[in-house]
Amino acid sequence: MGWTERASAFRWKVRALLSRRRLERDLEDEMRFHLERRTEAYGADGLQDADARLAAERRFGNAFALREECRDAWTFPRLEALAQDARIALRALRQSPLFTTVTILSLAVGIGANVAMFSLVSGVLLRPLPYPEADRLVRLTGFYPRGALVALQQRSQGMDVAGAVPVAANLTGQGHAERVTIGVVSANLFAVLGRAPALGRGFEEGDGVPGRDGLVVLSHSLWVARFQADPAIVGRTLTLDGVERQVVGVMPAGFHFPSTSTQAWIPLRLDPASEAYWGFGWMPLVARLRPGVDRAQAHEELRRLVDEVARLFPWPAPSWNPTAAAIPLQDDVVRDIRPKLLVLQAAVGMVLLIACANVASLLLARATARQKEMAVRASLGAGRGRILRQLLTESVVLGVLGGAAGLLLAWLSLAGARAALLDGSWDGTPVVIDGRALAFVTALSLLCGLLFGLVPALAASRVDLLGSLKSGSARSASRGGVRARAAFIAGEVALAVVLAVGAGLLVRTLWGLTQAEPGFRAGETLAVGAYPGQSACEPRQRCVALYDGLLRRARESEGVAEAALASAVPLDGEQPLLPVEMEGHPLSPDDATATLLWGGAVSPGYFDLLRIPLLRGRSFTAGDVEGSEPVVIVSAGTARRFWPGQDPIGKTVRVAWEQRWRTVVGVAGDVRQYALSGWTPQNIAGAVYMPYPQSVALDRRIPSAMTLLARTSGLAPDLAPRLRGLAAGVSPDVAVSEVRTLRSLRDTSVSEPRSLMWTFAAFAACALLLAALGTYGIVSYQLSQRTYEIGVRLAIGASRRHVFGLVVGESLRLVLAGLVVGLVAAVLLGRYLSSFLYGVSARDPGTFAGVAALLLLTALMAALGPGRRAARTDPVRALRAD
Amino acid sequence: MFKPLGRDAQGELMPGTLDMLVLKTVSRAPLHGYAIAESIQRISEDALRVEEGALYPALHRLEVKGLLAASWGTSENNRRAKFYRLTAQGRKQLEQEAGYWARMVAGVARVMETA
Repeated sequence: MGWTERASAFRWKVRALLSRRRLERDLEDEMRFHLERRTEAYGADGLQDADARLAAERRFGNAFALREECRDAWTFPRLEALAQDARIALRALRQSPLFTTVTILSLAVGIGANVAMFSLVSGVLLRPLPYPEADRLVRLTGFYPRGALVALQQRSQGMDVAGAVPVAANLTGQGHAERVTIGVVSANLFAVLGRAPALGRGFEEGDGVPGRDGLVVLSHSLWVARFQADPAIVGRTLTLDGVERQVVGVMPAGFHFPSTSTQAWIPLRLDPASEAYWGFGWMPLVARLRPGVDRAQAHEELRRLVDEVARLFPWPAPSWNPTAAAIPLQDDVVRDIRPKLLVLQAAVGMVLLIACANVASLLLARATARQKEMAVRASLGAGRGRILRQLLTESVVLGVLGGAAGLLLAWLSLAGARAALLDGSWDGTPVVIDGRALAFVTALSLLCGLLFGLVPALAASRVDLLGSLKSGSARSASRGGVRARAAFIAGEVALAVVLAVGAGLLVRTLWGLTQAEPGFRAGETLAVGAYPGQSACEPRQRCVALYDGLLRRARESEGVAEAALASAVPLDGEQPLLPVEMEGHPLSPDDATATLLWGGAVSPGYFDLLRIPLLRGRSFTAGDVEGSEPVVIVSAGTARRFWPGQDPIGKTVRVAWEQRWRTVVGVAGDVRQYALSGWTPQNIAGAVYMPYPQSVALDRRIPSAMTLLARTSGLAPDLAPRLRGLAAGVSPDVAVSEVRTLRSLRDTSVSEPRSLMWTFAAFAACALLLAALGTYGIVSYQLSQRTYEIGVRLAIGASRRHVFGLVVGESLRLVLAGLVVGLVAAVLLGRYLSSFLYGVSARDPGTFAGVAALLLLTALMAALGPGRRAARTDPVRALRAD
Repeated sequence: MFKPLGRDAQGELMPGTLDMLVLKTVSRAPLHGYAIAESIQRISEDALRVEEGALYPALHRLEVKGLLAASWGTSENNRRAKFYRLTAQGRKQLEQEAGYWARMVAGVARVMETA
C-alpha cells in the first residue's frame, strides 16, 4: 500500500471511530438492497418467493462473515484485539483485588522513585549547559596567572581561551550599599561562551588596559532589580568597590558565569608591569574548541603549552600546573553533585528491581494457581501463543497501571527530592518531569511488564493438560515454580539488605557528624558580615579604625557578652587562602607552588569567644598593631607538620610576596574550618591567624570584609536587628549580611549528608517494605497450596506448635539465603559509598549486624500471620476439600 | 499489491484482481454494489462468477483507502442505495494496474505463441 493510501485509510478509520453505529446500519442496508434486487431477479426468472430468496442468499455467500470482513476494513484489527485483551486482563485483575493492589503499589513505589530520581539526574547531569554548542566548551584545570592566560590565548591553535574569577564587591551609589558577586573576566569570555549581550555591547580587546577598564556589564537580574530595567542604562555609571564604572551592556536573562550568583562582569585588568600579572592567581579558565579540534587534541595542546608558558614566568616555574587538563565544562559544573546523584540512582534502581522481583513472584504464584484455568483454555483449543499473549497482556496492563500510579508518586515527591538534594549547589533551574522522563517511565513500565511477566507466563503456558486436570486442586506446587519463587525472594531480600546497610552507614555518618568536635564551641553566637568595600580600606588604617569602632560599640551593646571580628568564620564555606613560607621550609622561587594555609585575620578575643583553646604562648592583644612586631598564631596541626618535635613559639612565617617575617607567638587548637567531618582541601597545609591590623589577604591588601561575632548573654530577641544596625551604622557605604547564628552555620554544613541520608533511608525503607510484602505474599500463597499437606500432618498427630514452627522456619530459611548474599554484596559495594561516610567504616560490623537483625525481624513479622493461620488449620476440612 | 488475474486452488477469484475489476467498472459512472456485480458478470460473460458478497469487503477496503468515494442516492427503481465512484487517486491506481495488466497479458501471449 502506498503512503497516500495508508494516510487516507488512517484518517478514514479515525473518523469512523465516531460513526461505527451508522456504518453498521449502512452496511446492513447496502447488503439488504443487494439481496432484494437479486431475489427480484430470480423471481423474474420464475422462481417462487422463498426459493428466490434462498438462491439469492446462496449466491451472496456468508453474509455474517462478509460483514465481519467489511468491519475489518474500517477498524484497526490488531489494535482492537489488543484492547480486547486488555479488557479481559482488567476484568481478571479486578477479581483479585489484593494481588492487584499489592502489585500496583510495588510498581508505583519502584517506578515513582525511579522517575523522580531520573528527572533529577536528567535535569542536572544530562541537561546541556545553556550555551550554543556547549559540548565544545572545556574547562582548563590548574592555576593560571593573568600572564599565562594571555600567553595561552596568543599561542593556542585549537582553542579560544577565556578566564573568569568570581569576586565579591560592594555596589554603592544607588541607595543602600549591596554586596554582589561579580565576574572578573577576559574580554573574550562572552564570545567564547557564545552569548551576546541583550543590550549594549560586551567587552572588547583592549578593555583590560589599565585606565580604560572602568567598565561593567550587568546581569539581567541586577539590571531589573537595581535599575528597574532602565532601557537607557548603557552609558550610566555605577560604583563597584569605590570605583566608578560605566555600564556598557546587559547580558540576557539566565546568563550567570562563572558562578550562578554572578550579577555583573568587569574586565580583567591586564598590566604586564604589575606584580599581579604573573603572581599567584586562581583563575578558572574556560575554552571553546575550534572547528575540527577534538578534546583529546585540545588536551595535548594544553600540556604542550603549559611547558612552553612555564618558561615565560619572570622566575623559574618548573612545577607549574603539572596536572593541567582539558575536561568537558559540563563535567566540571556537575562535579560535586554527580557522585551523589549516581549513588542514589543506583539505589533507586535496586528498589525497582525489588519491585519487579516482587511482582514477578506474585505473578508466578498466581499463574500456578491458575494452571487449571489455563488447562481448560488449552483444552478448548487456545494455542500456547494465545495463552502467553493473554498472560503477558495482563502483566503489561499491571505495568502500565503501576507506571501511572508511579508517575503520580514521582510528581508528588519530586518537589521534596529537589529541595533536599539540590540545595545550594544548583542554580534553581526548574527540574520537572519532562518528555524524557515520561518516555523513561513509559519504557520502564512496559519493560517491567514484559520482564516480570515473561518468566511466569512461559512457565504457566507450558500447560501439562492431563496432569492439571486430573489432580483436583494442586496439592503441591511444581518444583520449578517453587524454586523460581524462592530465588525471587532471596534476590529481593539481598537487594533490600544492600540498601539497608547503605542507609545504616549513612545514619551512622550523620550521627557521627552531629557528635563531631569541630574544635570550637558555637554557643549562642550571632554573626553578621560587614563589607565596607575595598576603597574604604585605603589607606589600611581607615579600615582598622572603622572595625575598632564597630567592635567597641558591639561590646557596649546590651546583651552582648563577648564580641570579636574575623575575616572568615569556621564552616561558612569561605576559604581565605594565604601562600606562605614556613621557617625551615624554603620556598622554591616559583610561588605558584607556595605552601597554602588558611589565613585568618582576627581581633583580640576571637579565640576566647569561640572557646578555641590556646595551647601554647599568648593570644593577640590590643598591643598587636600595625607598627608593632608582626606576630601570628598557628594551629596545633600546622606546628606539628612543619616543626615536629620543636618549640613553635619564636618560629617565623613569611607571606609569599612579602619580605618581612612574622613571629609565632601562640599555638591554637585545631579547628575544622571547612567541614564538620574535618575534610580539608588537598592543597591546604594548615592554618595561620594574624591580628587584624597586621593582616593581609590573597589580594595583598588588608581584608575589607569582616564578620562581627557576638556571644550573647541571656535572651535578647532584638539583638540580631540591633547588631545589623550597628554594622550598617558605620557608614552608608557598608553592605551588611543577614545575621546568622553559628549553630545554623553548623547545621547548614551537614545539610548535604543529611539529605543524602534521608533519601537513601527512604529508599531502604521502600525496599524493606517491598521485601516484606513479597515474603508475606509468597509464604501465604505457598501455605494456601499446602493446606492438604498440613491437614495430613495435623491428622497424624503433629502439634499445632510444630506446624507453626515449620511454616515460620521455612520462610526464615528463604530470607536467610537472601540475607547472606545481601551482606556479601554490601561488603563489595561499600566502596562506592565510602566517600560519603564519616566516622564509620564501610564494613562497620555493628551496622551489618543491625541490618541482619532488622531483616530477620521483618521476615518473622511477615511469616507470623501465615504461620498462625497454618497452625489453626482444621484437619478435617483440609482433607475433605477435594 | 497487484496480483495477476487467475484463480487460486479453490477456483476462486484472486482478491487483487477483483479490486481492479471494480475500479474499472465504476470508472465510467457511479454505480451501486448490485450494479457493479451485474456489470462484471455481464461483461465477463459469467466467466468471473464469484460469491457476490465478496464484492462488499472489496468495496469497503477501496473506500477506506480513498480509491473510491461513496454516497447514498436513489436507485433506478427508486430505492435508497449506496453509489460508488472513482476518486482521482483511484483513477491513478487503475491506470497503473491496467498498464501492468496489459504488459503481463502481452508477455504471457508471446510465451504462449512461441512455446
